[in-house]
Amino acid sequence: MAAIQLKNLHKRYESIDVMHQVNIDIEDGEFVALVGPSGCGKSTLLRLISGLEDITSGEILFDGKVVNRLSPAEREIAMVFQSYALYPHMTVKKNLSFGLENLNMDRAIIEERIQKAAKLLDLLPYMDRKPRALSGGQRQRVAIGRAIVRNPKVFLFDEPLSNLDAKLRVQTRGEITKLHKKLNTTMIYVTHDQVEAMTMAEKIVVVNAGRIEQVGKPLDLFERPANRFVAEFIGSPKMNIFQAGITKVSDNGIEVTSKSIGEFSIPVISKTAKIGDSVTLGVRPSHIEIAESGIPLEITQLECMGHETFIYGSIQGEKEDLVAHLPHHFDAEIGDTIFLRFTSQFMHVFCDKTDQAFKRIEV
Amino acid sequence: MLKFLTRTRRPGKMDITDILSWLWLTLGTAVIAIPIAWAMLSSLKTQAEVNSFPPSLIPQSTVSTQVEGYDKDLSVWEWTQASGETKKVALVRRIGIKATVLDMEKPEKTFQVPISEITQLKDVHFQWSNYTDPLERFDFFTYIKNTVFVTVVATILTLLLNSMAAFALSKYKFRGKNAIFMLILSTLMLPLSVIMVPAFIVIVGLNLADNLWGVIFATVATPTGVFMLRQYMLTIPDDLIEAARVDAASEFRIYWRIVLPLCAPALAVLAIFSVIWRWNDFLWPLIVLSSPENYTLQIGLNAFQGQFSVEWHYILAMTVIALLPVTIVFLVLQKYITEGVAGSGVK
Amino acid sequence: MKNLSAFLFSILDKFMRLVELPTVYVQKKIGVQRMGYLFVAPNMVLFSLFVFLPVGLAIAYAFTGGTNMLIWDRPFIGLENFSRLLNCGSYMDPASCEFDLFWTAVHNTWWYTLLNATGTLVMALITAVVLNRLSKGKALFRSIFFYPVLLSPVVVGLIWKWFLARDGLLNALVLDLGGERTIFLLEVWWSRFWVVYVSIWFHMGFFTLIILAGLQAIPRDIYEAAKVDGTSEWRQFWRITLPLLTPNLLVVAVLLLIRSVQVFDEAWVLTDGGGPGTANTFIVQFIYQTAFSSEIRLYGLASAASVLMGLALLALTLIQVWLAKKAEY
Repeated sequence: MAAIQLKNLHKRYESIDVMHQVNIDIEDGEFVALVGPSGCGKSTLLRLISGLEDITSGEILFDGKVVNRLSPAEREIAMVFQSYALYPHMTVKKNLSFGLENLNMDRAIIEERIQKAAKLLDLLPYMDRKPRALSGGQRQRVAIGRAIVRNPKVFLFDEPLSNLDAKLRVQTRGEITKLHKKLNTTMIYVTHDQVEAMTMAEKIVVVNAGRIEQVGKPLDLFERPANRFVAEFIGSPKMNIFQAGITKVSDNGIEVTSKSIGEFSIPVISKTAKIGDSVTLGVRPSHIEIAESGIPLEITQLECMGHETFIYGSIQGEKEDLVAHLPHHFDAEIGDTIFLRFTSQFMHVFCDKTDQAFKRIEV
Repeated sequence: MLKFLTRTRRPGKMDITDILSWLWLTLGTAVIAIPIAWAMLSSLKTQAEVNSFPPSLIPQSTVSTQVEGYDKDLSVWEWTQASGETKKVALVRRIGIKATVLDMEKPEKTFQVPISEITQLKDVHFQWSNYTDPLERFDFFTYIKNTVFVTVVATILTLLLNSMAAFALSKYKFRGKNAIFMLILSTLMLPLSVIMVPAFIVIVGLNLADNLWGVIFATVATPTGVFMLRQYMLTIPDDLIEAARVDAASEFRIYWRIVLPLCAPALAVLAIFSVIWRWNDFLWPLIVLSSPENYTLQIGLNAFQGQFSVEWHYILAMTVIALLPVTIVFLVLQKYITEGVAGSGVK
Repeated sequence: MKNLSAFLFSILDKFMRLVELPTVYVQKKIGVQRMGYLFVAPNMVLFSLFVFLPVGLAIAYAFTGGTNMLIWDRPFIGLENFSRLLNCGSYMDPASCEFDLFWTAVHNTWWYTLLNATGTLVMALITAVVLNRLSKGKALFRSIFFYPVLLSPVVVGLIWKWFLARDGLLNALVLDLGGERTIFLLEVWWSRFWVVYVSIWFHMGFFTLIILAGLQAIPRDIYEAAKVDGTSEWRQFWRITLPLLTPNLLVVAVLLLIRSVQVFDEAWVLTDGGGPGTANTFIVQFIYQTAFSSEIRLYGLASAASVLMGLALLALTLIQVWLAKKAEY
């Protein structure tokens, strides 16, 4: 087990910078998810941590020791690949034992370890099969088993669920979480699926274009996104966005006005705010209520799930459709006009110049 | 058979094109098969029969028999009597147009018959000693031993060295990789005949002249092999190699335990080709090897046919020995060979 | 049996673990990616020794004279080797040249190349087209036609030498048909004919296979469309097959030229070293004899001839690469 620190990590491929000054602290035993859109550099970051790729500058520390020059094996990491990367010419048993044999471990210990892992992952009936004779889920378990047997200090997962069907994905998600609870080993998990990250991780690192946008607990990211990118990336359906301008600044917050949805006074730290600055307002779909009067919305699409309802519609003066999420059933028809109310303490304000959020005044 | 041969795209209808293509195939098969079959049949004939003209189709020899009271075996003839009856007789001696014979059923008494009434009896007979004699009396056993040595060692080295180079060129990033690959590719079309003189001088410089290792070393680094294996290795996912790195395997072990086994199909094709190439090599061993105890089969056979150009019964038998391994390999693996050639354009 | 192979494998594995030790040390020193140098090294050493170095040496030797083997003992004589090789009254008449054998070889090679390339191309094309028509038995006939390719030049030379011998099968057939017994390989024109014939017999299968692959790459539906239009099979061949195959055929043709120029092995065995006289002496044989089997070994002259042939082949190769590139589009 190991605590991991990344200090000013920088990576350059043939004069193109792909990772910029990355700093992350990962505690011993923590389950960390690296999320971001595809091509954002999260897999590169994982490969830098694993030692499969050399860093250009900066430091990687495992338990306070610099491991920059160490090979993956010397860092004692184990990795589960997106393609599983099982050795096709070896049986399940050989796949599990290969890494241990490379360490010149005693035969008896190898046998004991793979038996234990196979039992844990329900692989005992398939030990003599080759990977091509296994189902997707079974292959996935072998890949995880290959990581477990080595008793690594850190588990690295590179989008391990993206090749599974939806049902199996949910199930495996639970299994990996359970595994983490049981082994209590540091795990770093790369995914482009924010739902996976939100449900599994203790800490989420949002990566975008080779930079870290925000690091925090899942709920923190949802409730207090540091910038517009995180706000829009975390949460499903996406946050609704409106253009507005600052009309008043006081110690208790700022007042903003939008042409389409009106005036709001929002309790945020106002130090950097100036009257006249243009800002972006963000409202999560679940923070929208139906009211007798307020902002009129013409419904263009309705998704009634019984216990919850998604309403899509257009507001006059806004190009993009708005989404509202109600935690109950709602009777309406397409074409109806309803009225919405936004609660100002749940609204997010982002400075248009920096895309950073104004910090909320915590009560 | 005829039905099979004449089967065409449109069953039941034979037009002029079908007949012509059927004719082409039959004629072609005959042209290819007859000289080879003729050499094979002749290789089993006795020396006397090999040298007789017009030749007989099937290997035969005269029939002879032991008769009490005669030291030597007597040859058996068929006597067609004036009545039309035939009888087997043994020839004792011949004087002019008369032959002294004895009846095989009553060997005590000899009598004379005109030569025109008797014909010699012949039997199907395979002269296997054509194959064994050269091995015992001449150096052919050594030639075969040398050829097997060269073929086996060169093939193993070809597989190892070319797969290592292909591994480097397909799975690593290092400065000069593309330059090296282009350099190797550019030699794909460079024939031995252009560089044979200086290549021999290099061999002399390495003190490998008249040495089987000189034959081997110059042939193992083949651009064809590197190219073929590299193309195959490009299809092996890089993830597998990285997984092995995470699994604490050294780069050499990755080559040995992961990459080589996964390349087995491509290696098999290269192995087949290498065996055929090395077994058949002629010009290069001809230049390098100078003393008979180092000759390979091809060189030895060529030297033998120059020196003993009348001993066709031996020459042909050894020719058959020289074509046999390749033929067996082809019969067993023809699908891989023809597909390998069509796929990569190598020979 | 299974135990034995397991035992052998374990020994091999132990051996490879020993080999692995130094490589692990190197890997530590130079890093993972640079291990590529180590893997490519053995091959490059052999390539350098037996290909790159000889190419350089061939050029160097071509400009030196004398009979010494070591390059530093040989006097530099500039273009003398070339000018002597090319010193001719008339290039059409080898007898007027200083090295008449070289020019005889050039003439012989020229005619051989022309006839052999044309003959092989036509025969291989016909065979490939015929094979491609077959619905069943294609693999069988493909194998039959390919088989001679796998034989060694010595074997091919001897088989045919026997077939064409004075007491050979062909003479028996000729006599049977009322012809005259001929010693084919001792008559100038007959021997030349048979050298070309045997070459075609030997190598045709290889080119058949390549052309067949090209034929099979032509989409079936083109033919089906033609069939719907009622196009006859002959017309299909001239109007569809041949035009679509032309790029392929050009590449094959140049490849054939390249191979033909290097004629040596089977012709040498068949004709007992280029006979009768010099009727079948080709350039490679000239180089071989000049460098290896003459009393005075003229490495410089042989190298100069090699360089000349190499340049001709290089030109052909460049044409081939260019054609192959064009055929891809």
